[in-house]
Amino acid sequence: MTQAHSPGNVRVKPGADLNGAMLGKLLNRPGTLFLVGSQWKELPDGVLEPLVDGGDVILTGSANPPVEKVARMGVSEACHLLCSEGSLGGEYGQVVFVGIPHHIATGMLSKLKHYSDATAISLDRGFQPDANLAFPNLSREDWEEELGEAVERRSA
Amino acid sequence: MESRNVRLDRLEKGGLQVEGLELTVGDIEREELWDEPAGPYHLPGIKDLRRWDHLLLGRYDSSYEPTRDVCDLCTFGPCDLTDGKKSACGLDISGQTARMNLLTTVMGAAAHLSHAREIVEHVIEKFGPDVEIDMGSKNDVEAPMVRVIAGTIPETVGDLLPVVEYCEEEMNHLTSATSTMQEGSPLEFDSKSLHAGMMDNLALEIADIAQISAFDMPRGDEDAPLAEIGMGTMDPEKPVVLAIGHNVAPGTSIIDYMVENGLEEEVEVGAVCCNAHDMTRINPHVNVVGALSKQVKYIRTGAPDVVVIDEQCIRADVLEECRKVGARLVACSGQAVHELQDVSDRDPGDIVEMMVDGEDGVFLPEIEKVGEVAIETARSVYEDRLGRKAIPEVDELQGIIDSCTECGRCDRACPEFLPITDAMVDGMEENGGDWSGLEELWDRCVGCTRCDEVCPVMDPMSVQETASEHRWKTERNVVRTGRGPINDTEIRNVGAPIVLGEIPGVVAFVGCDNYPDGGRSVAEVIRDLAERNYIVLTSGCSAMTAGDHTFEDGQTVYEMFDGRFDKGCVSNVGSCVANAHIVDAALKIANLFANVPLRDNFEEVSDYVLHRIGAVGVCWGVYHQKALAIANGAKRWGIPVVQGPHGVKFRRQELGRPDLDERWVVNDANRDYEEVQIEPAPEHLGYSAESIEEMAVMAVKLCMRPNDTRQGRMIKLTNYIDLYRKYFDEYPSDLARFVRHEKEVPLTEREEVMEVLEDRGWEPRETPNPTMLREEDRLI
Amino acid sequence: MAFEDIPVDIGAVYEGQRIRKGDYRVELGGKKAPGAELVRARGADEVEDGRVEVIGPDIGDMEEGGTYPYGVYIEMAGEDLDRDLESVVERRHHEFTNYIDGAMHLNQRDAIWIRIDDEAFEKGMNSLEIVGRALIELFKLEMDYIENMQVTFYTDEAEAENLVERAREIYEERDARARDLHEEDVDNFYGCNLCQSFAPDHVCAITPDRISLCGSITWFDARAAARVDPDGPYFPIPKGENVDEEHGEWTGVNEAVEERSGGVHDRIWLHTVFDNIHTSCGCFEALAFYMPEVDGVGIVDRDYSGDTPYGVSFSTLAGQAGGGKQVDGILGIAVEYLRSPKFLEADGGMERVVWMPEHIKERISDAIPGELVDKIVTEETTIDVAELREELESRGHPVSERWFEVTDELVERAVDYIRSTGGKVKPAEAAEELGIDRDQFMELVKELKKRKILA
Repeated sequence: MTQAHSPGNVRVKPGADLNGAMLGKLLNRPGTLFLVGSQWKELPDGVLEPLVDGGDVILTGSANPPVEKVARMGVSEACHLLCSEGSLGGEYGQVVFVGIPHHIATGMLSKLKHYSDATAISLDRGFQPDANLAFPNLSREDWEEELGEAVERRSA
Repeated sequence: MESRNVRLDRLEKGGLQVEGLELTVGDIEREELWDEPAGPYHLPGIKDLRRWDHLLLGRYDSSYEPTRDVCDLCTFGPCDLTDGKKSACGLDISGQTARMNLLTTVMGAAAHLSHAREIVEHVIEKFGPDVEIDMGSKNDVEAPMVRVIAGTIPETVGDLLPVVEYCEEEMNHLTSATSTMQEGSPLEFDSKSLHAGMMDNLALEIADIAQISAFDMPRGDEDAPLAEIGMGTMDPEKPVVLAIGHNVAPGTSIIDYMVENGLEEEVEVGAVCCNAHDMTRINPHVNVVGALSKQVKYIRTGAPDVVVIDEQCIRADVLEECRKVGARLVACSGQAVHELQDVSDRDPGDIVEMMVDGEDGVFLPEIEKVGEVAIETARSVYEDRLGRKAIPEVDELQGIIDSCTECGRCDRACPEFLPITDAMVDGMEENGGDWSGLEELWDRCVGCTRCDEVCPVMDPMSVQETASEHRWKTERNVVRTGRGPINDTEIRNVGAPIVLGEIPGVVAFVGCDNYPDGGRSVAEVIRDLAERNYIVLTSGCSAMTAGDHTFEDGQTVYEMFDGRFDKGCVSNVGSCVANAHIVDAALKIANLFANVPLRDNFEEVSDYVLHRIGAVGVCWGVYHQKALAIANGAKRWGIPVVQGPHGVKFRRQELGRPDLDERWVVNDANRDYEEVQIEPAPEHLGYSAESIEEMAVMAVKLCMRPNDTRQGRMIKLTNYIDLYRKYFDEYPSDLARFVRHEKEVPLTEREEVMEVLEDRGWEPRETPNPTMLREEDRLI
Repeated sequence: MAFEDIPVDIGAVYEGQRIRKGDYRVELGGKKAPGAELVRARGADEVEDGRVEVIGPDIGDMEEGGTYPYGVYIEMAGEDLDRDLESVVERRHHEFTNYIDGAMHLNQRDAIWIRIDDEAFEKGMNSLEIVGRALIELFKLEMDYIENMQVTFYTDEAEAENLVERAREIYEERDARARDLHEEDVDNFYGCNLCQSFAPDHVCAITPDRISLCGSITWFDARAAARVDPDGPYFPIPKGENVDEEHGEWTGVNEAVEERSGGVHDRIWLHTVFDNIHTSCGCFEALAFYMPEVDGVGIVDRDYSGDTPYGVSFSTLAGQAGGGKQVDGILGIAVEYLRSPKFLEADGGMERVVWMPEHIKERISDAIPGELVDKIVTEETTIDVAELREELESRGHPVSERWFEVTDELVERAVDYIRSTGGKVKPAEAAEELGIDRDQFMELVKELKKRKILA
């Protein structure tokens, strides 16, 4: 599924768009929390597991991927707790959105931008101006390629 | 005899006015029944219910989700509000976001309030001010919200005018508060949003009881008739009149003219959106074309000869769409005039002639003339219209699909991110010409035309429409017509099954059809909940969605389930304004079961509702500001609301913090108001879910209340666990929070669950008589 | 887990499930075939725990879409079990069968009607043994006083008929025993505070002669429930002393109500519509209401939507009575209470009843003494109180004997008295002076007005 550019807000940090190589590096940071949402199946097979490896995973919506989670809660609930220091039970300097439906992700990324110190990254296909880093609007093939590269980087 | 009479005259003067003498039980007057003590909130102003709002918002955090980083509402700006910066007027991002939520709520509430005034004035103009307010013999409390807020029992439609005026005054104060350099606190903006929501709900009630009384709509009809719904319900070979909007007044004129002239067989009359509900409430033979998403789609088929618009949910480009197919437009409300010529002072015959001669639309606020003009114009022009449409012919479709450049702009423009390009590519001749993807889109498309706006080569929405032509041409399902109020007797009937744990809750599916993935899943959740013995209510576009999908045996939920307010039933209250009856049902419960006085007693009534009535509103396809206004009203009354993912665009949710015990402390009225711990129930007051599955689980979870009986909690938990497992394939991790006693754990898994709970140090808890108020704040 | 070898899911979520025509594999009992459910308490050695027997064809042997007889005979044993619990357990058979995904149970006793759906059958629900095992498991989980339970299903026509016949005898026996058990015969009444969920001040007092207002809980039910769940919503009320036999006032009831209503109420008369009447919650099935014009009591229930001779509908009357208040003259009741021998005993019982909706009169016709049947008026005759009065008089209803008659002699005396006071009259004093009560004085004044003596 292609996702849209959302024209509502200005970018947090104008600059380079996210790419696979950069992502691979970033995901190795400690204190990374993955919010994996109900559209996780949009990711190509076998990509999610290596991407989230080493980080904490919260499953949102009805997501049920084969990865170990620390909790299941609504993406609204998780982001709200992230904005209240220490409430989520971990120190997360980096929050990564994966498979979260675009609109609700937009709202949550805006919330994090304004009310949390965590760096927010979106791995989904549509551009998210409120994330610190997000892919530009990509074709499915290009997106899958970038994700593949990120996985490769991580394991390298 | 004479002397006696003299004596007795004196006697009268001397005061043989024995107390109670005049009161014979046989002729109790209405006012005499109104012996309720009055609470402290008569016509509460913008500041008067702050204490309650602060209590609510002290428990439920306002979670702000700004849609803009800047404020550009005054010429100091635009001001950048990122990184904690304040605007030139001193407002920060929270304040600005809360203010925008208020402004949005005010917009929605104003639409309903303006509607209420127009209906009331129309009724007074047509029938006089003395039309008796009558909600039928099964409803003793005719207007619960008017009683609570305005502290009066309205006897006639004329009595509603002062209440409308009060709302208008409050709305003016609220609008004022959104102007620059007024309010500065996010919390106070939020309180005002709730106030605007309350004004909205009150306006809904006024509008609906006025129109029920005046137009003899069903008054709590437990078996309201079924009406046909679908784009295939009307015969396009006949003259077709299509009404769009929310104000039924022009619709009544159309129905009256049709019936008075015996034209039911000759002319097709249908409507989209809430007008369709309200017209079928008057005459179930009116056709329901569908929800908002069908507006442009239906016009483009070329079927309508005349389109009549009144107010709300009318596309801004309706005239342009009408022109494409040669349909004449009749605008009836000052709210939406579209630069059309005002023909109020002309004879209907002249107006018809004008339109037959080629005028593509008129502005006709003289409602009484609308019926004749619309129907006679349609009868005169329909033969010329036959064959015209604004969608491609089937035989030219392949060529159009093949011209797709695969640029992907349609996908990005689509508010639901539907895979339009993929469907086009599959539909290309070179790829086998499979149009099934386009057909599938038809079900999920919300009819916004944004794809048409960006596509360089075609109108993709029209392409899918032609590709699915064989389906919608025969689309005929049923929707139950709006029943109006929930009857006092029905409420009494469900009291015992609720406390005995046979009914797990009340879930109301309300609002628009901006569904992230089509409406079918909404109909499925409705069926699922009805099968689980929930009382399911529907209204507005959601009520149409429920009737627009069939299951096994080709039946819709309205055929599968009865229309009562009872376990396992699905009943449609009616249009947007009929949403009032959902809140009203909660207020009636407070009044009927606990004798909580309604009169001027907002705080105590809402406190009762919040802590005791397991009702939840679901607005899965939220799009309009009105939906926010309705929701904010419901929240202030203590009814939580779950929205779809688009809901975050209203910029605020009200989220509970189950992790903070101190938020879940109430006073126990049975123990001298000492503070006691309760479970987080209802856990949230306003919540946006990302998927329909999450919505279903959250809706049943939010049916829990601290007063639940053990049997009641057991059935609620049973459904919560079951749906959680069904959709998330695991056990809810927060179960321990909601179990107060082992008997509340579902029978079939009691042993295992109790073992786990006891390992975690779980301890039983008493059920309190919960309130957030103090003893001195209450009348009971 | 206890249900793991059962091929379909079991749980309360399936209770609302309906199995429509065309979706079922087989239909059992109902209108077309004999059926009955019967639960019996037996000695421990007479019941083999977990045993399920099917006498006649099993589901798998039945013709698809066919209708078959269905006798369910459940035997149970346990130290704390007694005969009185049989009907309580039996009533749950409906609910527990419905817990089975793919099974639907309608009606009760000898009218039961079961459907097993195609999907459940496909999943492997091809034997009643499975149903039996599920039932045994559910009963034992919910009611821990059941130690052993065995179930026998009769699908053979003759055997099922046999059970139906036996069951009918036992139903009758039980009903007779319930009818014969009275407040004097027991030590404990029971209370229910479920409705406090919505009506915080209401406490329901349940006795062998007084079913709960909602009509759902009998004394037997409450006793059984209180025994299983001692800290639950049903609790024993040691009845204490009968301090006012006429009105049904028991010290135990007063104490329990005072404690459970947070002190809001402390005195309850069980069998009257006057003064210290029982409180009404919100879900009462019907109302008994006093009409002073005829000095009689009317009955109206939730299903009657018209006006009553009181001048208002059920809804309006109910609005005045509910919410856990004691409202003189309006009492929430269960329809079944009309059959109680103690029904409004203090007020004259059925003899005081002057009006009720026709459908209620039909429903309880067996409980109305023969000589009264034609004397109780229904909406088919009138809903006007003046007409009602005339009607009662012409039918010779016993309440008409209670009516106070304004004689010419009394009128004379009244006029003299009024004259003597110079026109300043206090009703209480006047009544005393004239040797009548206050209400009668009011009536007298009305008569004076009628005769144009008073303007």
